[in-house]
This record gives sequence, structure tokens and C-alpha cells, in this order.
Amino acid sequence: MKLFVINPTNQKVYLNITAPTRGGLAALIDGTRFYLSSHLYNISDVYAEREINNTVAGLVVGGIVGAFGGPIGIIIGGALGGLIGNTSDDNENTKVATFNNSQ
Amino acid sequence: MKKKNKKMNMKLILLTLALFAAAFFSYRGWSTVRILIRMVLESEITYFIAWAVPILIFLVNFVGNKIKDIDSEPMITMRFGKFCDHALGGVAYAIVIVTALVLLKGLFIQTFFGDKIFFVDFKNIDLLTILSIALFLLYSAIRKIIEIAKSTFIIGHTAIVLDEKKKEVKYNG
Repeated sequence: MKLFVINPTNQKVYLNITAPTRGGLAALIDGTRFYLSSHLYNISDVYAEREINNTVAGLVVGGIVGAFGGPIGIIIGGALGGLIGNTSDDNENTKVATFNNSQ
Repeated sequence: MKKKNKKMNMKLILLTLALFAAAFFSYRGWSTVRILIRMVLESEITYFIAWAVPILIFLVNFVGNKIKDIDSEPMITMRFGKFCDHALGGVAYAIVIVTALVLLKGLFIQTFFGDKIFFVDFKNIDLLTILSIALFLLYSAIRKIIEIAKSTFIIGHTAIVLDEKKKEVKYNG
């Protein structure tokens, strides 16, 4: 999970720190406001997003690796990789939702 | 948000279809596909890429970014310092990928061609064990490299958080 703000030029800037909730972030920075690239932000400006789409990555890598086992290997490898990635995505989605819904 | 989910599902559907297409092509033309796989496994370029890409990704991550920490756990869990973690991390992943590829090459040629015997006196269960661990290592190492590559790109837009007194916020990961 990565935390980010939208800067005045409408671009995402990621924070080099992370916290499970906005309250946790406030505790970490010892306040509710902070500077990022010389702009002042409030912790309510911070949002979380998933770092990587594990399902897609798992499906592709699993399929390629499975190719060593022939046609069945491609399908089994892809399915297994996708499944492992999907479980990982579910955990990450929960963390992202927890942060974004926090005060 | 809904739009993003729809887009993601489309991507998944397309990838699944591509996977089935690859499996179908592989099934119909297995004799050609297995020769192609053997060529890839025996090519020096494959091993050059397997060495160069992980090392380069880790070094670019170190040189190109102000924030030197690797979020993801390195394969060697012991921390030797920022430079060594990057340099050794890249080498460790390269070794894992090359080892897995070499093992797979032996198994693949022995199983599907039989013109060379790499594993003498190995029973089927031993070969299956080697295959499982090689596939697992290859899968996890490639996934990790993708993750580090992606975070290298993301770190490019990462900034250091300063508190209201403009002091860097200490963060221990």
C-alpha cells in the first residue's frame, strides 16, 4: 500500500512513509499538517492505493513459468498464479479501504 | 472507482483469453513450441538477461532515487546497509533465476527430448520435487523483480515527508 497526495499541478506525489490509518499518520508526523516537496498538506489530503495488481502479475508470470509443463502447465500455472495474486490483492484492498475510510 | 474496476476486469478477461490462446497454440503445435522453449533455455542471451535485469533494476533503484530504502523484503533478510542491500539483492535474485532456469533446462530436455540425461539415478519423485522448487523459485523471483521494478518507478515520484517544523519524519518501515 502506498500513500499519496495530489499536488497543485494535479499530479500524484507518494509519501515515503506509510501508516494503517490517517490517525496513525498523524501520530507519525506528530500533527495533522506536513510538508511534501515544499507544499503544505493536511492528513485529510492523503489517500492510499494498491501498489501492484498481483492478480494480473500472478496470472502472467504463472502462465509463462507453467509453459515448461506444456499446454496444461500454462493453464495450471496461470490459474495458480492468478489465485495467489488475487488473495494478496484482497488483503491489500482491505488495507487501502481501511486507510481511505479513516478520519 | 467503478470505472477502474471495469477496466481491471477487462484486463483480466483479455489476459485469461491470451493464456488460453497460448495453451491452445502450445497444444496444437507442441513439437514446435518445445523446440522454441529449448532454444530459449539453451540460449546465452536468456542467462545474460537473467543476470543483468535484476542487478540493473536494483542498482537503478539505488542510484536514481533519493529514497534508498527497499519497501519489499530482500531475499537475503539480513540487512547489510543501503548499498549492499541493493547490490546483493540484485545478485541474489539473479542467482535464483539462473539456478531455476538451469534446473528447468535439464528437466525439460531430459523429459521432452531425452537426447541428454542430466539427472542420472534420479527417480520420478526426485525430478518432480526439483521441478516444483524450480518453478516456485522462478515464479517468486520474477514476481519480486516486477514488484521492485514497479516500486522503482513509483519511488521516482515519491517525496520525503517533513513535519510542520520542516524536520524529516523518522520512519522505521
